[in-house]
Amino acid sequence: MAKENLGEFEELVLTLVAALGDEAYGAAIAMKIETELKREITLSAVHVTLYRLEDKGLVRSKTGGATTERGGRRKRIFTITTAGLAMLKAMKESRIYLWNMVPQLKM
Amino acid sequence: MHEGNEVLPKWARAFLRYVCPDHFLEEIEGDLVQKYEFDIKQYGPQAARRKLFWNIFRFCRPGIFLRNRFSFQLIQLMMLRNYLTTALRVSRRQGLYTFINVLGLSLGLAVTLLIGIYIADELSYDKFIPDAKRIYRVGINETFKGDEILYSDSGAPLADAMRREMPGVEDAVRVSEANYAVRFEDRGFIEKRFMFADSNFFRFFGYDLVEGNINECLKGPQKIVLSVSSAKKYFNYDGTPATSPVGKQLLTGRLAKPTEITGLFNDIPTNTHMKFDMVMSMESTGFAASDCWACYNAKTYFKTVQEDAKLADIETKLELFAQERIIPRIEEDLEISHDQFVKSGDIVKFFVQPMLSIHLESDIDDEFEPNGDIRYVYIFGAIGIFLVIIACINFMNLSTARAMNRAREVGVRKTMGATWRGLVPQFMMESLLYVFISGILAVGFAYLALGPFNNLAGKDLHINLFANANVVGLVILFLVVVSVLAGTYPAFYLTSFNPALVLKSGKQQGSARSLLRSSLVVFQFAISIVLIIGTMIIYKQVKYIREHDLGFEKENVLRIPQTFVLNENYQAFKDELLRQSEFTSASYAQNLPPNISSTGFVKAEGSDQLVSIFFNATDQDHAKTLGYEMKSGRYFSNEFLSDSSATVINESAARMLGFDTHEGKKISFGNGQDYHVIGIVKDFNFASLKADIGPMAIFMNRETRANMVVRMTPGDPSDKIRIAEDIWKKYANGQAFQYSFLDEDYDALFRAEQRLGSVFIVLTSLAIVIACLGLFGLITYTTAQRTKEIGIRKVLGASPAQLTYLLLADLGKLLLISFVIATPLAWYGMNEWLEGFAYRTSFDVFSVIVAGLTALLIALLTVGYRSMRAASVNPVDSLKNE
Repeated sequence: MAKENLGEFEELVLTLVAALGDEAYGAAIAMKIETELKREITLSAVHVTLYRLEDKGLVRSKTGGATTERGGRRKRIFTITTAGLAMLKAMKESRIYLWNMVPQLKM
Repeated sequence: MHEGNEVLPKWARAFLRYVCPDHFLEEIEGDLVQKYEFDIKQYGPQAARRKLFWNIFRFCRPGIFLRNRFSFQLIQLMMLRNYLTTALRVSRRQGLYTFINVLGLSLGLAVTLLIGIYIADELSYDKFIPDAKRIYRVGINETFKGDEILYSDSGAPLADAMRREMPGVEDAVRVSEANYAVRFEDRGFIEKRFMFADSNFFRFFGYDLVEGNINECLKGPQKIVLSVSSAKKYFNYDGTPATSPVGKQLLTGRLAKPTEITGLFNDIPTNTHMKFDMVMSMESTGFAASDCWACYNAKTYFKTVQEDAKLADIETKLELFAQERIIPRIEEDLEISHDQFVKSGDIVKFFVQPMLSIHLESDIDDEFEPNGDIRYVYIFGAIGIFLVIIACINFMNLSTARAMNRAREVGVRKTMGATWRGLVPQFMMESLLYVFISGILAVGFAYLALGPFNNLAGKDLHINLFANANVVGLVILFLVVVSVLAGTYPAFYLTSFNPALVLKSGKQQGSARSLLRSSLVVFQFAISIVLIIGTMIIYKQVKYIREHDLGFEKENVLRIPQTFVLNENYQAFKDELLRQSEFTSASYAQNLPPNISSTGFVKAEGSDQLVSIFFNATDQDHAKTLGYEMKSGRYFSNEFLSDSSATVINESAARMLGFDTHEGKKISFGNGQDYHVIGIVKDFNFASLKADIGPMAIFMNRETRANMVVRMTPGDPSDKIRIAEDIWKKYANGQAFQYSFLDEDYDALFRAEQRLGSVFIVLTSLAIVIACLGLFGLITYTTAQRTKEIGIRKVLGASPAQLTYLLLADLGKLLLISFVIATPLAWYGMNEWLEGFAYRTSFDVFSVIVAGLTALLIALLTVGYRSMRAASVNPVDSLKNE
């Protein structure tokens, strides 16, 4: 399979899946983005991205147990796969490498 | 599972259920709820609610609702290939079924396609005319003594009066048709599509000129505008200015008057009620400036200012015109007072027809051409729909019957994990494949059949699938709908098999006598029987009319129209003809049957009662030539000079005038024009047999030479025509010799009915073929279902004959039911049709019985072989598998 690149939003969601660990599901990720980054997004955007990442094999999902808080509905918990982690790492390293090439100006 | 305080409204959950894939639904709903609760804390309940709705709606996006629906993943692609392979293998293994299935469907589709084109053409009449929706025609209704006569012609002053006196009328135009002699040097023809029209004609109907000034070309007498193909005919016009005939002169009419060509127009389309090759200025006619409201000379068309205008004002005004301008004129002619006219209860009034309705709904004797008939459009439309339904039904029936052999395949597929979501597409795809092959074949059949179809229907239709995208789109849509209709039932039926049962016995047990299937058979046979009866009655009626005694001898009579071109040579021509032994008698007459349509009013001397009567004027040899029989008195003779003020009336006229004998009777036109009756001729038919024989008065005119009838000796006419033509050439100054046979002219009156008969035969045969294909499929299915039953019956001692009877008895019952349904339908329909004829045959039991027996016989032939084979199978074979 050809080496795939991630879009900005995909990378953001993937990073949050890695960061949230066992609590990574659609609503949690959406809320995290809103509180941490002050960015307005729709829930469906997060869901579509998660499913796409799953198609690409970067995350894996399983249905969590029932809870009482959301009308008794179960969550789908996403966990990052080794491939996803490698992809994140590679992207981060390439960013740092490129960033180092930028002339360090005083700011 | 959910708590009572549900956050999501009902509609939102329905919406999500529709949009989201099933396996994501629960978590999506959960996330929405959780996000909502989070938002309440963050932004307050109102904003949160707004955000919730927005979030819900945003789930309607391709990434969500297309997910796992139409995505072709590798496995599905492989299955698709497998489906295709299976379909091809099956179709090859069951070659006969495939053939029958595809043939039946494509025949049905082809007929529907042809009927569709025919109907589209009928409905398209005059629609191309730019202002068609604003154009109307004014006709006249005269009812005398309860006899209603409609004219599409009206008086010459009407158009101008409408233009000047009616604010709702934008423009009006007069059009009058004629058979007219036209000559250029050595090329002379009688033009049949020849018209006189006012100078605004081309603008009024939106026809463009190729050459000439559209406003000026018809101004002034003796101006003529030709179609491009008539210009070709007379002048070898080839589109270049050098060959253009504009500015040249033609000789027209009986006096061969020089007429200037002032323009050319492109040949007009075939789908208009008003077809013409040449248009001459109205001012060339004698009546153009006439102020006679009661002389119906030309058809008057008018255009309203607005589309869908209310015609009430115009109709009121027309009523006033009739009261003030026509009726006084009639009263004056007949020398009766207005009170007498009112007292008689007679009616003279205008009526208005939308131009778009003329072709299909108007049936007036003096139309430009015999019109179409909206009833035939309905009949053919219904037959087309029935045929395609029958074809689809058969397709379904045969597919389900075939399924018996594929039960095991379905079982294996199901055991290997195929769900109905995988199987339905497989079988749908197979139907789609068959339907599309049938569709392509149908187009091919339609192309092949178009020529004969055009002959039958008297049309000039073309299939132009690629002319515009609309048609292609419609055809494809139609095919998809048919394949879904035809494929749905087999697909769901096949996938409903229980794999355990199927794999054990290899068969799916279902009811052999399904109500659905039986009613389908009844339905299609009822239609076939109705069609058979219809065909027989139509043929019987046409035969009846052709053999009906016309009251004169129509055989061996040669008709030579437009003999006035002979001018002063007319007597010499007649004399020389009669010197030949081939011609026994000849006569000139103003009008010839079956085209006698001049009418007027007369009354018996001493009476006020008007009688609307047909007129003709002939010389003294007319009765002898056509073989009229006199009831009393005599026909005209040269020996009585007084005969020029005498008349011969027919029996019908005598009845209406109240004469029981001719002796001493006179009829009057008013104005002192009295004619004494010298004889009563037995009724003879001088017009269509659709109407009763009307009253007629014949006058003597020694000078008349409009048309000629010649009685020939019996036998091959070709030599005689050559002789007549040679004599004609001596006297006719280069005018073309034209002729027809009187009996053929009468036959032509019923061409529409004969065409209807032929079209019915074709449609009936097709319906029967398609129905039989379906029956064949059904019997196959039934016998397959009952193989075991037959085996057991055989073991217990039933004979093959008994078993065949057993299998056929069911079918017999179904046929009986269809027969019972079909007969009253056919009886009703055909009686309605026969009502339209004054001389008609009856709906008889014989036709019904023959139709029933035909259907039965054909059905038996179709299924007999199958049943016999099923009945003669060795029971060991059918029972050993248990």
